[in-house]
Amino acid sequence: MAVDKDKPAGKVGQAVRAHPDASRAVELVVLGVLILVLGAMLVYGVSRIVSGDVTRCTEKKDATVWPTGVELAAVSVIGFVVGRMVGYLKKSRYGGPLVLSRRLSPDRIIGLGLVCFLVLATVLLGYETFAVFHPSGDPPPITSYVRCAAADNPWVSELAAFIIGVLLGNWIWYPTTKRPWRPWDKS
Amino acid sequence: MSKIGFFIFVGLVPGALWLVAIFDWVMTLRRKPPLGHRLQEFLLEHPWLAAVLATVYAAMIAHFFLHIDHG
Repeated sequence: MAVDKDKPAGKVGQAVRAHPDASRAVELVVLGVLILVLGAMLVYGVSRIVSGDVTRCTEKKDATVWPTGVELAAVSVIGFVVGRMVGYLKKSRYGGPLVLSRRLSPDRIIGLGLVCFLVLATVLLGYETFAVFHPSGDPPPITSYVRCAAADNPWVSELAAFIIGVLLGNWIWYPTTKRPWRPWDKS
Repeated sequence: MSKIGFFIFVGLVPGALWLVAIFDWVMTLRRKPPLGHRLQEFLLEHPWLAAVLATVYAAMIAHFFLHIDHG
């Protein structure tokens, strides 16, 4: 990975680069808060599964119809954008924009992780397709679980969707001036 | 729906992301390149994969949150 350190950053980028330790601390606090909140929500979710009656979820099948579903989609997209903004802290701290280097050897661990993620996503989407294809509701589609969680506590679900969006935006939509559909761009 | 299904759902979606977020936080704490940096490095080498990931994410949002079924 090559970094273009000569390219001037914006005002925020310059401030971040001038105070790398402070920006790193801010980044650690932001990510730490997200991890703590998501961890607390995991504990809450597990406690609701243990104490709740999941058989009543069929009564909540319309849970993600307007407005809850639209709100969930909106906070997911907003979170994705916020995640990119958090990514600017990292980008500025590491120098300028990333520049593709042909000398770079592919990171096998990251590659394998992505392969595992895509395999998992494919399996889940395959299951979802199979479940939706059977209108009897057996096996139940993943959508049913999402709707049940959203109906049980919309605020917690929306907060979870926001945090997941921030994390994914931070990882996938990392700031760069290079456009994926134009791989020949150098910066 | 069953409780086991819910456990799998919670474990696979927010649970897995939570573990990866902890990994990212530890990498930042140890002053190592964080996950987003490494991912972007990989995606710059394979730009089609970035488009696939974005499409999958958008499709998931649309399907899970905007899929209206009164049946």
